[in-house]
Order: sequence, then C-alpha cells, then structure tokens
Amino acid sequence: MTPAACVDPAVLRFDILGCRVGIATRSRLVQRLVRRLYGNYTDTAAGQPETVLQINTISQDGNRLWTLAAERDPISSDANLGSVLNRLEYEICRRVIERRRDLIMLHGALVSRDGAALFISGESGAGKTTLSMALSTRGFHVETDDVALFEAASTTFHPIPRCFHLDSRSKRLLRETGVQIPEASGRHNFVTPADLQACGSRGPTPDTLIALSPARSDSPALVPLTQAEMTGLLMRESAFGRQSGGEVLTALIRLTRRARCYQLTMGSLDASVNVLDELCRRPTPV
Amino acid sequence: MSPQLTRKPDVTAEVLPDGSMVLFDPAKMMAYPISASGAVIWEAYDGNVAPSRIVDDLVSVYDTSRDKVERDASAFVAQLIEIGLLLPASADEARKR
Repeated sequence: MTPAACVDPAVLRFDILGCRVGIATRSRLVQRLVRRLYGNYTDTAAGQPETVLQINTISQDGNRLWTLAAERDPISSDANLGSVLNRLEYEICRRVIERRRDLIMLHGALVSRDGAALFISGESGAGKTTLSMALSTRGFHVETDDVALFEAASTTFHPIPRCFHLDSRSKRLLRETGVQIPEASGRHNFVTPADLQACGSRGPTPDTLIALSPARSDSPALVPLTQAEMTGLLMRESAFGRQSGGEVLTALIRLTRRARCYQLTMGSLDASVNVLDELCRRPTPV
Repeated sequence: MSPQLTRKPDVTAEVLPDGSMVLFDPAKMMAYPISASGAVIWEAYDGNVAPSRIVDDLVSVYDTSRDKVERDASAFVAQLIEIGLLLPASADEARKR
C-alpha cells in the first residue's frame, strides 16, 4: 500500500496560520461548506494534522442528530447542522489562537479595497459583521469580520477565517443593501467571505481605524479620534499570550501611529456604508 | 494645581504623531490615552517645572483665558490623581520645588 492510499478521502486537511487541522466527514454538504471557509488554507504538506475534528450523523429516538467530536471525544450534537458547524468553527478558531500565542489577538473586522485596508473595532453586537458584509457591495474584500492575529514586528494582520454570524435582522438589512447570500449557507447560518465573492488575500495593514460606537443615530456620524484614544480602545479589544502589556502597547502604537482614526456612530446601514466608502476614497495623509 | 505631586514610578508615556499620548501603568495593565494638552501637563510633572509655568505654557499655545486653562488643567490633574498616575511627592521632592 502506498502512503497516499492511507489517507482517508473523507478527511479535509487545512493549515490555518500554522495550526494543522483535519475535518473528517462523509457529508458532501459539510465538505462543500467547510471548503468555502477554509479553502485558501488547504494543507498539502506531509505529516498528520494536530487535531482531527469529526462531523457525523447519528440516529436518536428516530431523529437524525449531527455530532461533532475531537479525536472521538464528543463536543456537541444538535438536530440543526448550523449549530454544529458554528461549534466546529469555534473549536478551530480557539485552537489557532492557542497555537499562535506569539501573536496578538485583535477583536474587530478587517476589510480592504485597492490596497487600502480598514480595521473596524467595537464591542460584540456593535455591528461589525453587518457593516463589513455591507461594505462588500462597494468592492471591499472582507478579510475577517471578528478576529485577526496581529504580528507586532511587521504590523501584519493574519485574519482568522470565520463565518459571519447573522441574526434575522442582519440578514434582512443586508438583503436590503443588495448582499446576496447563497441559500445553503444562509439556511445553515454558515455564510463565509467566499459566499460574497469578497474573500481577500490576507494581511493588509490597515491605514484607517474605526471604533464603532455602541450608540445609534438617525444619520451616521464620523468623529476623529486621537491616535492615543484609538490605541487605548484597541488595547481593550486585544488579548495577548506571550507578550507583556508593554510589548502589546508598543505593537499597537506601531499600528495607530500610521493610521487615521475615527469613531463611527451608525445610522442606517446604507448611509453608514456610504460614509466609510467616501472616507476610503480620500487619500490617507502621509 | 498642586505642586506636591510626582508621577507614579514605572508609568511609561508614548507620544503619538498627532501629539496625543498614551500613559501605561504596567501594575494595572491599563493604558490611558490623553490629549496633546494633557501631554504637556504630564511632561511638566518631571519635578523641574513649577505648576504656574505649566499654565503659562498652555495659555501661550491655546487661544483661551487663563482662568479656563487653570480650571481644565486642575480637573485633568485631579483625574490623574484619582487613577493613581500622579502621587503625592515625597518631602525631599517637594522641597526641591
């Protein structure tokens, strides 16, 4: 038997920022959805993945349940595939963050267009996902809507591939702004950047930093922030493994000192997108 | 503005290109952004500048009354004291001033 014949064809292998993960499933639907999220990270190197996560179905009381397990240890089960896929994505994200403790984790969305990149920070529920998806209708690539790993020395961003987690209100707002969500992805709540054809390459360093205000207004308001204010906000929205607080601060200052910084209070989604679209058309001061 | 104050040791200050400043207290792992005028006040608390000179400097830069500058500066210093970034100076340091 050749080594190639030993590889289980149902195991999809990915190398996500140095974390080698296998996803074992016989479901063609799951394979297709997972490939849309992690397709840019296909692992072709020799050797085994560090973790294999399995998605299977079992029958319980006459009902079909989807199950997620790691190395045969059960993690979750649900009649709804979307819930299990979201847990799979969470488990992978957690492993990537744990594996790359040399990098700083920044909570926020990263979008780019024509070489310029915009980082949008804000508390959970502030609207980062909806806003970044809506920006895709203006030609922005969505690198991530939620979390990126930041390499201090080079100020490089490494977006962690994640799905867009959308509630029904967000889906409605996005449809109104012209975002097309593929039926299968929408049904299983597993919408990926690839579904929007808005998947960027990776790692542009943002030259514009936006802090989303938790407040809402009738019309959007963009107010300049000092670079120090933005540094303080990013410090609160970051998590760090091996670095000291001082090292993280120095790294974040490397980022903010070359960026223009604003706070955005969202108005209607369309008007808020217009404001950022317009801002990104203005040249960045040198 | 009280002259009997000194910066908390170990607090680092980073000036940004737009003139604003981040103060970092490693003991609390907290970063405190301050404005460009706040940075002038922070830098003045190095033990070598009399508080009245700080106000003089700010009045010369900002087009506003001395009363307002004194009020704003006092409020800012009170905040720094409250969060523990400015501390009462030791007797030796106070005498030097």
